[in-house]
Amino acid sequence: MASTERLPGASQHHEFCRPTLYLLRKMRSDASLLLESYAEKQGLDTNFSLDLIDGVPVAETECWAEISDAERLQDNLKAYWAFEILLEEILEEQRSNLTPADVAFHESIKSVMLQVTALAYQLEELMVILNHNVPAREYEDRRSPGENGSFEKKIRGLKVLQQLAQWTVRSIKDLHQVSKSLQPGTVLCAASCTAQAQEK
Amino acid sequence: MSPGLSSLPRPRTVGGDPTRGLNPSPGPRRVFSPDSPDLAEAPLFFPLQEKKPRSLQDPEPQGDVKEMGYLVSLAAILNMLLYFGMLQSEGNNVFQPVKLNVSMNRTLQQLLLEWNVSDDMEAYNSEVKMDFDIQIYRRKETDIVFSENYSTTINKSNHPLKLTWHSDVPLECMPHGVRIRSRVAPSETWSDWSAWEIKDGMDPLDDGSSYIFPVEKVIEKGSSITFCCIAKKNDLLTGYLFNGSIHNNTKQRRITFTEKNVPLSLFGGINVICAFSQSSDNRGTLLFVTSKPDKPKYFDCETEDMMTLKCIWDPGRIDEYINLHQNKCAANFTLSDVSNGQVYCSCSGKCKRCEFNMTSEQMNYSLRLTAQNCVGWEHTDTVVDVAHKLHLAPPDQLSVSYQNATTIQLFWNLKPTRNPLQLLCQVNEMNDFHPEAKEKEHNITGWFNTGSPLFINLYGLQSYANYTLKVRCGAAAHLFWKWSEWSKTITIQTNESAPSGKLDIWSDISPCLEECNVTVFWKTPTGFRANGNIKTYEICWKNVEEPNVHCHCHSTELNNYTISLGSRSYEISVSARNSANASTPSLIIISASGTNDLNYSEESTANNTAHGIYLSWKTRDTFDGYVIDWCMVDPLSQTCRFQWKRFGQNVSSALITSDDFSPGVKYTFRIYGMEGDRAYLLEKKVKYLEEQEPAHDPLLSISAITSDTLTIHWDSYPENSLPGFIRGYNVYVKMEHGNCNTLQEFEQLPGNPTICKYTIKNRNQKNYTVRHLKPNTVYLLTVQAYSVNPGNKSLEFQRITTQSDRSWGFLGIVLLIAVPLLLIACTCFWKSDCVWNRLVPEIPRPYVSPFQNKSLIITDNSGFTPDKLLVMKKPVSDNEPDLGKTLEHKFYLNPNYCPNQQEQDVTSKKPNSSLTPYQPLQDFLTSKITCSPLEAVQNNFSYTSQNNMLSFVVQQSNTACFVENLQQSNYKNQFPMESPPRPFVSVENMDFTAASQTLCSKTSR
Repeated sequence: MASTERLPGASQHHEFCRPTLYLLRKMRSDASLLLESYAEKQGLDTNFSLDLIDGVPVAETECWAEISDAERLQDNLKAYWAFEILLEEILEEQRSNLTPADVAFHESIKSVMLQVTALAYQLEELMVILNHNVPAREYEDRRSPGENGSFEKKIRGLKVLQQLAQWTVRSIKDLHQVSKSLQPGTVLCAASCTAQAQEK
Repeated sequence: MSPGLSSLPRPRTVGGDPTRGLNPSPGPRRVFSPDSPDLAEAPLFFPLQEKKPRSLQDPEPQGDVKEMGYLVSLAAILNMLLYFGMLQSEGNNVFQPVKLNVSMNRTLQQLLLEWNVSDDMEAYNSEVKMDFDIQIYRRKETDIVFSENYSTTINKSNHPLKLTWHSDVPLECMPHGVRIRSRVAPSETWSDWSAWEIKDGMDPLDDGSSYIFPVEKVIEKGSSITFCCIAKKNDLLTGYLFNGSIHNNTKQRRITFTEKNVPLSLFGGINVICAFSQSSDNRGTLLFVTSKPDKPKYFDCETEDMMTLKCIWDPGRIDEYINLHQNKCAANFTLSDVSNGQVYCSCSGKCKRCEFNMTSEQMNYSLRLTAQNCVGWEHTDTVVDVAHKLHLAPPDQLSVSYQNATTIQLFWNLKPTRNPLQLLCQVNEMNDFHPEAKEKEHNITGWFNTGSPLFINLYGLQSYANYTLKVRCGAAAHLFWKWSEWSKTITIQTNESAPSGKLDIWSDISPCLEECNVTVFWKTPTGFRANGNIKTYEICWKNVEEPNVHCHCHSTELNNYTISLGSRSYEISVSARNSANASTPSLIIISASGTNDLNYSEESTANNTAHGIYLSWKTRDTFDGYVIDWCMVDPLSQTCRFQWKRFGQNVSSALITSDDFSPGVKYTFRIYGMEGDRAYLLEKKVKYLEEQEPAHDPLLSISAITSDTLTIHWDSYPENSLPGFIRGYNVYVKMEHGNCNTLQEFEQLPGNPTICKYTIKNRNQKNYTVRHLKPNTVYLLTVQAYSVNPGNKSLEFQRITTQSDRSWGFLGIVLLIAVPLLLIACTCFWKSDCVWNRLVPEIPRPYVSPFQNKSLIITDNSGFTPDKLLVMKKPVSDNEPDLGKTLEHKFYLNPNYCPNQQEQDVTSKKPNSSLTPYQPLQDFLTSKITCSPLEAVQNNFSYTSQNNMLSFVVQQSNTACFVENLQQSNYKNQFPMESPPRPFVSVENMDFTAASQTLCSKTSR
């Protein structure tokens, strides 16, 4: 590694990678806790099938290894943009209908929302650094037409948090994958991030 | 039965054989009309209104007269045929309902029933009263969930007949079957049942999806609810979850389950979930369980202006049924008229009051307050007679239009009312001068017209006093219900008037011969009212004995005034003046002379209290009252605050109380008898509140001290400084040895046998002679004055020594000295040789010069000079000083010579014993000589050894010297054991330096 020649932006990538991965690990922890708390407060089982709920970015994907770096980062960015909106809807539903008096729970949702916003910003910056096109942001209503019932809103919140937790795991892998594909300087980023992850 | 259904004309349900029913009589048909427009709260079924086209109801007449006649004939024939046909049909007694059609409204969960009667009925253009019996089953024919019959009159305009039935179980959950039969009133024979018309809510569902019913239902706590889960085609149910409890079921496509007595749900509802074989098909919903509102309590209404009626109530436990979003099941309160259903006002949430405008004519309201939410309602009724529910707004705009010293005219206003009202108002009056009756209320009744304020005149008020006024009002007489709130207060001060009552005046006359200073004091007694601000006091005096002389007057702002008067009688008057007028003058007649011939009498503190001094006096019938005056001396400024107090004719004693009285302070009281305005001094008394012992002992002086007597003198105390009356003195004598028996008049002090006490009960005695003392003895003496409690103070003695007895003392001394000396002299003379031998044992005789045989003679050596030295034969070195070799003709033995030095000398110059070689000059020579050799010799000059080994005869010198570095610590007694040292040399380890110093000091004398 020491003999590897660094590209001019390698050091920059390295510095940018580190806080993003830190943030993702924190989000993974917080989103998992929030998911458990949400299921408990709503009387739901996390094993409940959520296939009925549409409009939530799904972390699972086929041909994950074949996606280009630009597409990979775009998928991440679009997903977290969507989660910003979805978490806002969850918070509003909790405040108005489901748990109006549970202010602490609302604060925990807001905390995760803030993390999602920060992550989306960092991903956007990374795409700019890597000269990838940043997709245009679309503020579409992702709710299904028939999901007006309170139960569906409950289930939808569960699915949003479930997928958010899965997305944080995928994003860590995606960042590593992007780092690997950048030769040779950004390999340092991946190595550094891996080392930091192991230290954790 | 629902309220909507209850308003329908209900037929009497008649059982029996359906075939025995009568045929309906022809006649106009009637339409069923539902009462309740609210389908959500609808009864289980509603007949729906149907309008028939007018053309069918009223056919237009047509044709000319001929044709009319033909038609009339034809109609008559037809009518006859119909009549006979009807009779024949009535004989059959049955019209079979036909064409029963059942449809579902899944949104409203209703079954809509439509049917016609027999086609034969169409032929009749008349009304027929019929009864219908309808049955609905759920799941299977034996589970009848609805069975109702009712009557109606049918005609051409109201068919087909319709009926709506609301299902409390989702129609999708199970099939429902409907059938109907009929009869023509008054026949009791029913037609046959129609065939079951079956509807299943599941049928119209898309079989490609799964379902759960009902969706987001709100029910009342404790009620039951039925759910059903429906799987999509080719899928099966595996179970369901209700409120966290999982229920597994055998695999079916549709299951129905009922939950009974459901608990109150939290904010967010109860989860109900259907689980299917394919988990992606799982469906769920929320069940909200809440309570109906409480019955409102304390529902009452009132008006404050006869224009609006305000109603208030206690809604009860609102929080318990607001456990879901307010859009779903918020409570609503409706205030309506019981008689006509008119809604006056309504509110939702936690509202507790509402108001509405009354009509001018209506004075009685029958009101109903209904609290309703999505699961139920409660109501409370009340009847309001507005005339008896007048609760006025608090009066305002209080003002005073006129006032003088004793009258106030107070105005106030009220909120406008619809009509003139006869009111009862109450004016509350609070004053700042009357401690007991501070509040007083005045009632006034009058008519109130809008715009015309009410007023009251308050008479008999106190001059120059603050009155705080407030007003409240209510309906007068029998219409009174409750007072309004008090108005804001207004404070008014009445005007000034002349002071009422007389001042209490008194005088103090200074001792004088001709012109006397008379100080007149005055104060405001109880009952005197200034009625304003007292600006000045006017004092006037005139000679009573010379009425022609004009009186003199003076004004002052103080409460005393000093005037100089002659020895005649004067009349003095004092009055107080404010801005309005002066008070009635108070009079006193004084005579400046003849008041000082009474002596003060001292009285004990008997009957005194903690703050009161008791006084008594002798009354006389001629007096109509008594006055006691005294001077209250300020402890800091020592100034007199003149006080007096008046008593009635029959009073002969008084307790003068004051917090300013202090223990240990002497007060002088003068008691006067009053004859009208003239005062006569009766007594003068000096008293203490509490007597205390003198703080200091009297100053002693002792004289005439002899060997057995002495006289003690002491001074008087300053008259005004005593904290109590002096009643005597105690003389204390203390002896170091002996007891009080030797002092005959004294007694032993209890607890201290060395102190003797003698009490002098004459307080005027200022000396005392103590007798029977011992000569030349030390005595401790002291004298203490006592007031009421003698002997409680510590004693401070003065030391006195009595003189010695000179005659016997001198003789004793002579005898004690002379007799032993004489005896000694005689004995010595008689036994001189023996004594000599004892004193001077035989001395070894070395070789000596003839001078050695001479006796030592004690002579005065002052006039001698050594003329020869005797050199002893002991060899000495040449360099040794030869001082020790001198021999003197005279020897001086100083009996007072320092024994320590003698001892030192002895021990350092002991003769050679058998135990220790004797070196007589060793220590001497080894000592550091700090003075001349001659002086060194002088330091050792007086030694007279018992062994007589060495004798020095030196010339006495007054020169002092010191011997240093003598090794006292190494000093050992060199005397032989069998020869103890003489007593004067028994101290061995003495300090040599000290000894030398002692020596020097002695010799220097």
